Amino acid sequence: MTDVDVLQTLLATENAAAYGYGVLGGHLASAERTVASQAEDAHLARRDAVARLVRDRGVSPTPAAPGYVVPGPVADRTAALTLAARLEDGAAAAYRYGLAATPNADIRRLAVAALQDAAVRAVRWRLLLAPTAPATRPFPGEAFPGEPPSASPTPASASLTSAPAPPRS
Amino acid sequence: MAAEVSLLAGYDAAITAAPTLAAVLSAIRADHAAHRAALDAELARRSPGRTAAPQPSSGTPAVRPPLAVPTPSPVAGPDAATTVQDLTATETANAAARSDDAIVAAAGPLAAVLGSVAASEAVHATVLATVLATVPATVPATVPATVPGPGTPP
Repeated sequence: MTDVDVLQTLLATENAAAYGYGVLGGHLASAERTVASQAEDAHLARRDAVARLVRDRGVSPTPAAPGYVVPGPVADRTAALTLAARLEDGAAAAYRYGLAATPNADIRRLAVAALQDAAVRAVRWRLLLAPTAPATRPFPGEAFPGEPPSASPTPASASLTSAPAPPRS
Repeated sequence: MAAEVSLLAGYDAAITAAPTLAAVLSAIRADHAAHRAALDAELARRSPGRTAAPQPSSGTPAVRPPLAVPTPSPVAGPDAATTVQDLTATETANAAARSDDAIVAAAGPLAAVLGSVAASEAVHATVLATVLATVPATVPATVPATVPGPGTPP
């Protein structure tokens, strides 16, 4: 896998995460919506940073999919918080994968910072979801017992699944 | 590795100094024990002569058994707020150091483990900062029986 392949994978994850926050925001309390909006902005900024690294290599960044399928229905606050945590777990998995997949220092620098940011946001969502449950994970980006796997080598599918584009009429 | 060993000792001391925070501190300590085991295993894999300690690897389910809280020292230690503040600063510094290590790691799997450890430590700093907001700065974490507590007449 080339550095461009790695970067395009990270880009797909960021696009999916940003889309996911758009889905869940409406089900959160007011203060939580502000946090979700900040998280969405952070993912968009990271998406732009990844896209720059792709362009630096003379390649066009793959655009976001026209639509995504979320892992389950998001009908209330609990589902929204759960999805937010999963989005961040998926992003953490993608960046952990990125760290392993390339020795390039620029990509690793971005990946290690993004992995930390995603892990911190994930724990904040988990604390809102279940304030008394253990919220920390020893290895963010790695599957945790009892939770859906997110440390997949194909990280975009761990958070959201890209849906095929609707047929053009 | 030395940083993880030092942090484990730091959390042992902190659990003694701030027993009311034992639950959260023990959970974080368990994360550091897992870090040490994973780093030990990763380094052993790269150095054939080195033997990994017989501890769970990063892929082993994290077990968070209740820790035996050491008996409080008769000597008054730092207050809980100071203890948590110190741990927060250490976690933050270690997260930065492990991030640098991850960037320059020769092997991809080691970079991934180091990156996850850095992220975990950043999370710990966040959690400890949240805890700190709930800890009164003026209340000692440990009040030895021989020392009057706050509000006790002389």
